[in-house]
Amino acid sequence: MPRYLLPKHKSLPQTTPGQWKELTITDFTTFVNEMEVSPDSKINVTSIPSPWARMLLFKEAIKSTNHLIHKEVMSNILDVLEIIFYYELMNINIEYKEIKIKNDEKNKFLKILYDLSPEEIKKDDIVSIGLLIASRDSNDKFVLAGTSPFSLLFTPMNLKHKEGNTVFPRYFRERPVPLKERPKDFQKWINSNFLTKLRKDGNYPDLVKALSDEEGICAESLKEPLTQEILLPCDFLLESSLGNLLEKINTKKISSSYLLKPRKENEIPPLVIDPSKSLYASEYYNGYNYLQDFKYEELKNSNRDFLPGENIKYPWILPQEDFFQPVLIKYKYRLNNNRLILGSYKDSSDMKYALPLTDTFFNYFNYDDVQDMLSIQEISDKTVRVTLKIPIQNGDYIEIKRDYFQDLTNSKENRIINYDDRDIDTPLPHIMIWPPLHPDNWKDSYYAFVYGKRYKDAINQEEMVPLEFKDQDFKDINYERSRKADKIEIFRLETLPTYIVISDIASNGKGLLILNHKSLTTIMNPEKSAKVGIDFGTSHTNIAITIDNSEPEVLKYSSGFLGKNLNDNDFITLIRFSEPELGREQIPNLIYNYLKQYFLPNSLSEIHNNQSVDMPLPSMILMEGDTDSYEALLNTSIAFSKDDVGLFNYDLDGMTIKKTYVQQTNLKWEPQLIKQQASKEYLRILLLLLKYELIKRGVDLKKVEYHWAFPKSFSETLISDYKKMWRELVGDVYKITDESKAALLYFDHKGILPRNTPDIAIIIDTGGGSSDISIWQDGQIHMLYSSLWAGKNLVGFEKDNKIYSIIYDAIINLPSTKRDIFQNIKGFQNQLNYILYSLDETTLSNLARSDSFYKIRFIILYFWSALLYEIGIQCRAIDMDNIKKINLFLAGNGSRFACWSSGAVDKMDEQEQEIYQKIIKETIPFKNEVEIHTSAAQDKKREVAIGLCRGNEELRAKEASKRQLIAEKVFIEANSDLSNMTIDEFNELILQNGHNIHLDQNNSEIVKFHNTFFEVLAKSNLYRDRLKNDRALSNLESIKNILIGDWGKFVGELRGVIEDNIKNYNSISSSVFTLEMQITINRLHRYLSENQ
Amino acid sequence: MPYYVFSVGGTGARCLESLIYLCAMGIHLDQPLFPIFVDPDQSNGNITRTIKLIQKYKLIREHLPRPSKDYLFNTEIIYSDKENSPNTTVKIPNLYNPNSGLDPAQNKLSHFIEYETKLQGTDYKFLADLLFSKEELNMDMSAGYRGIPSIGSILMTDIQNQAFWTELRGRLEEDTASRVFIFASLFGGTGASGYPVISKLIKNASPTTKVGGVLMLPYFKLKDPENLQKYQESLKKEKIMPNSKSFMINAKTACEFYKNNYSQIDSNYFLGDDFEHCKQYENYAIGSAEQKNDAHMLELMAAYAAIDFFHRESGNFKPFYVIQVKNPDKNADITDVVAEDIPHQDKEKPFERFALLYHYINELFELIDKDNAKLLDKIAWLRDLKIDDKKVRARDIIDKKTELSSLKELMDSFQEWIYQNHNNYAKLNILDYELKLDNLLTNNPNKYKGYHISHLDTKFYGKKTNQNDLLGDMLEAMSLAKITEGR
Repeated sequence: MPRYLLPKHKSLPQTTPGQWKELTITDFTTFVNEMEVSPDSKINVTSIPSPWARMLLFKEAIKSTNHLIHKEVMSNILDVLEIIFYYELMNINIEYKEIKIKNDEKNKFLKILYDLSPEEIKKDDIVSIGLLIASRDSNDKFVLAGTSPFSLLFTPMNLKHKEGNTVFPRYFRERPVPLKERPKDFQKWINSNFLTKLRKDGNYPDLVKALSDEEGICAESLKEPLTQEILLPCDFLLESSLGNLLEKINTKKISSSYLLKPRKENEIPPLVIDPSKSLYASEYYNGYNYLQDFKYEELKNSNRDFLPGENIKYPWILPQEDFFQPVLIKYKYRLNNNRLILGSYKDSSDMKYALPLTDTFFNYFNYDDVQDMLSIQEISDKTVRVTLKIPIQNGDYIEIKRDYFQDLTNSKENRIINYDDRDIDTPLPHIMIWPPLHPDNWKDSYYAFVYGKRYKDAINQEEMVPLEFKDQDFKDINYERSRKADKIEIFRLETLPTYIVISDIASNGKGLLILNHKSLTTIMNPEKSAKVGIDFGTSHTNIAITIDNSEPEVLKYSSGFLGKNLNDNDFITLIRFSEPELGREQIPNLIYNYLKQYFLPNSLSEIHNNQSVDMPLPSMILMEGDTDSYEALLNTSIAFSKDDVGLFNYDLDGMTIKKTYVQQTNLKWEPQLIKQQASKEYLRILLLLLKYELIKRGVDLKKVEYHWAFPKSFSETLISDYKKMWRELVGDVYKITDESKAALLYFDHKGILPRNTPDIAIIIDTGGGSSDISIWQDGQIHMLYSSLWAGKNLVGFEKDNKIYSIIYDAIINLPSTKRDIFQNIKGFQNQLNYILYSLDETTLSNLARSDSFYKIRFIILYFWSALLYEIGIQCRAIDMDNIKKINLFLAGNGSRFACWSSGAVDKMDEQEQEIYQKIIKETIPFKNEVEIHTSAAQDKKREVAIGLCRGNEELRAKEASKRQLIAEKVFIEANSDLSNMTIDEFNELILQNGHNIHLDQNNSEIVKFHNTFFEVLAKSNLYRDRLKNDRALSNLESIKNILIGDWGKFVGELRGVIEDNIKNYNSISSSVFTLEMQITINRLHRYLSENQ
Repeated sequence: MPYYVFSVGGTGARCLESLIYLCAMGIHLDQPLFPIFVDPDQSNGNITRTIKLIQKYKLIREHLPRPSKDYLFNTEIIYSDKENSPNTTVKIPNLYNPNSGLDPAQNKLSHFIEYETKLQGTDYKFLADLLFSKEELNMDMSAGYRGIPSIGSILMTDIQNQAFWTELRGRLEEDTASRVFIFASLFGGTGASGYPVISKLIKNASPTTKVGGVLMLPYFKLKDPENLQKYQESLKKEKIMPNSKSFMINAKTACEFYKNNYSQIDSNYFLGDDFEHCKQYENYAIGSAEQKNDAHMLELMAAYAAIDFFHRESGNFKPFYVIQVKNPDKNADITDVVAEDIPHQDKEKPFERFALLYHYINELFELIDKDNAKLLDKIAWLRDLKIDDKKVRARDIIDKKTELSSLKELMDSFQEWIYQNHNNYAKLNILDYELKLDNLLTNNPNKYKGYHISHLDTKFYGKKTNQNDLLGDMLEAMSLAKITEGR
């Protein structure tokens, strides 16, 4: 059969070969339509011989579904419409420009365009064409489409998809995308909005026909109407005829099954991209599938604001990268599963991995989502797999895994970091937070103790492992911090953290600890009231509390746990050491020791035990030497420790980071600013402990009354300073009384003060700095005063670097005293305090009963006898005619010495009692036989505190009827006996006249006392049988001579003491007798020390 | 009243080549032929080959001052190598370079339309971006338009700005018998862009002038440019390369364009073949001398289309013409084009006569080269030839070797052309492709059986010639010779 000399086609009519045959237009059209094109043809139509080729190509192509590139062209038109529809989501700008070209155009290019233009784009001999110009920023403008009278729009060849096309990678591709494969909203808009308008417009019949074709580009697409509210006109088209046809959608959201389902209310949930599975052709967004299979490495550094491979501005996440840390931090010890949210692990009590979650994760999820979402699994000896179940919008989950490896030598990523292998130099922070109270109950700051070598070196403050503390909303918590030593740091946190983020600078990774607040006990509706008595003593301090008028309780910061309780009870501890670890391992032991040294003890108690800290607490504080800032626990610490090896090393510890520490003792009496500051900080720390205890007991802190006592011998200035301090510490809810009254209140509260009898009760509360005396008779307070005659006078003195203290000498040489431990404490009296504080009663009792204790017993007798003699002088002002009995109650820490040799806490040695009774009888001229009864308090050292918080209010309000006398026959001028003068009167006299005093040796009370004491003693069995055996004590006359023999010198010394006191305190501060005794007892100390 | 033939691009040149051969073979045109080559690449091998043919044709035809319409080489070809000089009136050139307005170093569309200069910062720049891709704007056009006629159309339009265009328009308006015919391919760059623009511009310039043209649909393939780029260093930087895989799509799309007669042309002759079987050209070249492709039977048919157009009565022009050939008649494998497929009344005869001439000239030159006067004197058909009333002797012939050589060369190229025409999917099967004397007609070997050239020559002998010129005499004698059936 003959053939046409033409490309393959189907059916042109047969004709005679060898003759030209004319074709009608119809035949020719048929021929063109049927012309066969091989499927492997490269579709890149460029053959239209006109500069308007692209427009004409679109024109022809939309006319027939058979046209070679009909689908491509229709797809391109839909692409443009879709880009306009979503242009805000794509974050592009579009502008519209109209170009008009006239026949007489001078520009060559425009003239040619005019000459070769299709007639349809000419109107009144002017060629007119609209341009849609798109841009991401003003510099990258490009043409999105041109208007066409034939196809409404046509697109430039430049947009045709090529590899690496980043402008519109999804659009203008060779493979046409039918409407049904496009976003649902867009489908609806095309069918129900755009087509309707286009039909009504009537200018684009071919396009309407193509879009309406049942088998065309819009086949099987959604026809439902789109809610009108979500459509907006395109601002840039307002001046164009397109403005009536085209619209944009008012949304910045996309749809996808793979949108994250965040627990937090985020406006835009990001798209989750998981490249661990093949992405190609799987669901992406808005009904689209992925065009390519992205690899993890490729996505890792891609901009998270634009969907990969797309032009859509929409956030997305690569969870393996965005939710997981690059490294996994492993602790050597178990994390505390009682307190922390640890995710799922085979045995949560054995979990050691800080959670490798990122900050980004918590943009979308809360801490309490972690438990269900995260699991950690050791899949081999060296590999740990972390899995995250991420909820997505379709109700399902995406499970993401990341493996971390041990011994990954060449890569920083995916490593397991085991800092703890470095043992005590580990940079991994071991953190203990105090108090272990829920923030609902604790409105004050929280404190964190951190152990770990987190800094690059000691001096440089560059952190290798920084810490972040975040609240429930993952916001940073404000804090102040102080590095105490190379590995120790204390943080004061504004609130209790939920998240603790541990950063590893070297690997740029982080580990996360999530504190489960629900694990903390919450005290519901604390509404009890409390009274607090604070006995801030010279050497020790006690705090007692009474809740809702219950029995008073001395503050014990204790869970009742004995042992190294670093785990759950007294701190929120993030590491959970096992018992064997606590006993054996260095880190828990160091933490334990450092806690007591710099922070808070893990247990305060009244029970003397190596693992706990006994009450009362020594009144000593450590302060940073070179700081102007004093903040409880940050720059100041109470050294709670007492007996562990290596304690009081803060000087050495601080030295490594160029910090110095100053021990501040004798806080109470010193008027200097630094001492006042030290007192304040000391009390502030104790008040923190107190508040914690009160809250635990259900007390409403607003219903707390603070009672503080001061010694009667305090100067007015000191009292005023303390009032100010208390106001700053607790506000106006404090009340003050004097210590002697407080002791009285205690004994009254105990019901042992005699009532309805004329008997006298004398309470002697001997502390470290003063003895507070109260003299009581049948509900009447005769006298309240304090005497600067106390523990510090008893234990000796230090002069020219020599210690004159036989007590210290005896104690320090005891085999059970670990003297090395205490050598860093400044001042032998402080050391002695600590040593005595650390020794148990049996050791002390054994010491007291030994021969080597005779000198000590002698000085104790001398001390108490002098005190009683002075009390006796004061009692001369009281009518003793009907007295049958005097009860002497010894209280205070100092009374411990009085009972020492009895071997019991609350009892004096009987032989010693006899001596004291005789001294009193010699001092007070009783008319009748008087029974003198001596006893010591059970609650020794705590009487003032208890008395303060529990005392009878009526009694508290009572004043003493008598004033303390100077207790010595003093002359200013001849024949002017001032012995009945009160101290206040004497102070005034001295201040006004400034004359030196004179003493009559024959009538002096100090001489009388010594005569009495040595006489009584010499006759006593105690002396004759025992004390005399000590060589130094064998000649009492000789000793007496040493003490008061050189009268002129003695009087000179007394004048010096009086002058000093007046100068420093505007008061002689004690009776003259007491001041004299201060001189003689020092002489005695010197004598005894030198004659050992 | 010439017939202007625009040969646009490489295909156009080859079609024109075929037309020149037909003229040489004595196919008569009643008007002189005025060829105009339109190509930005005038060193193109296809053009140079055709120009050489024209030059030889003209040399030969100078020996026939007054040829009868039956004579070989009877059609006058107006062709001049000389360019316009300021002192002469404007000539219409036989060669036109549409890129002539461009700086050779900036042979790019972007330069031509001042994209980087005047258009920058204006909205027109975006208009250019809408209509052309970056690659198109920056494509080197010195070797043509590489399959992008939308670019070529812009450059082609510039023809109307040339001085000669006014001259041409004047002549066409003045001479209503003149006609214009255009040879071009539809699927390439240069031809496809020149065809509609030139026709439209001519129609704009002289609406009464009849314009026709052949649009060649894909009939050859090229080597895969992507493969070539891998191995040819010179091609590696090229961003746009003609690719025959898009020929059919381009052709089909372009045909859509012609449906609407945008170019206002009177008659379009469409020619092509089953593209699947088309031959791949051995040479792949973007242009230049390397672009020298074998002749194709379809180009011969295109030449016949021109002849058909020139012979058509005025008022008898239809917009679309196509042609059928006999084969495959019975055997589906045979696709040869045979004598009866030739759309001309003389069918194969001119070819046969020219083939004989080829043989005579070849034999003659064999003897000349051997200086064999003895045998030359024995060639019967030469005996009665006279020059200046003197009989031609062998020595005269040997002395006229130079004069005869142009004919010898033309006949040699004819033999090559015939050979190439045989070497297609659709072979031109009217002559033995090697022009063997004993088997001159492959489809009818018995036709001249028993003849020998020495016998044939008696047919020439005795013919009176009056050219007084050896070559002229020889051509006249050959033109008058009648080939008849064998004995």
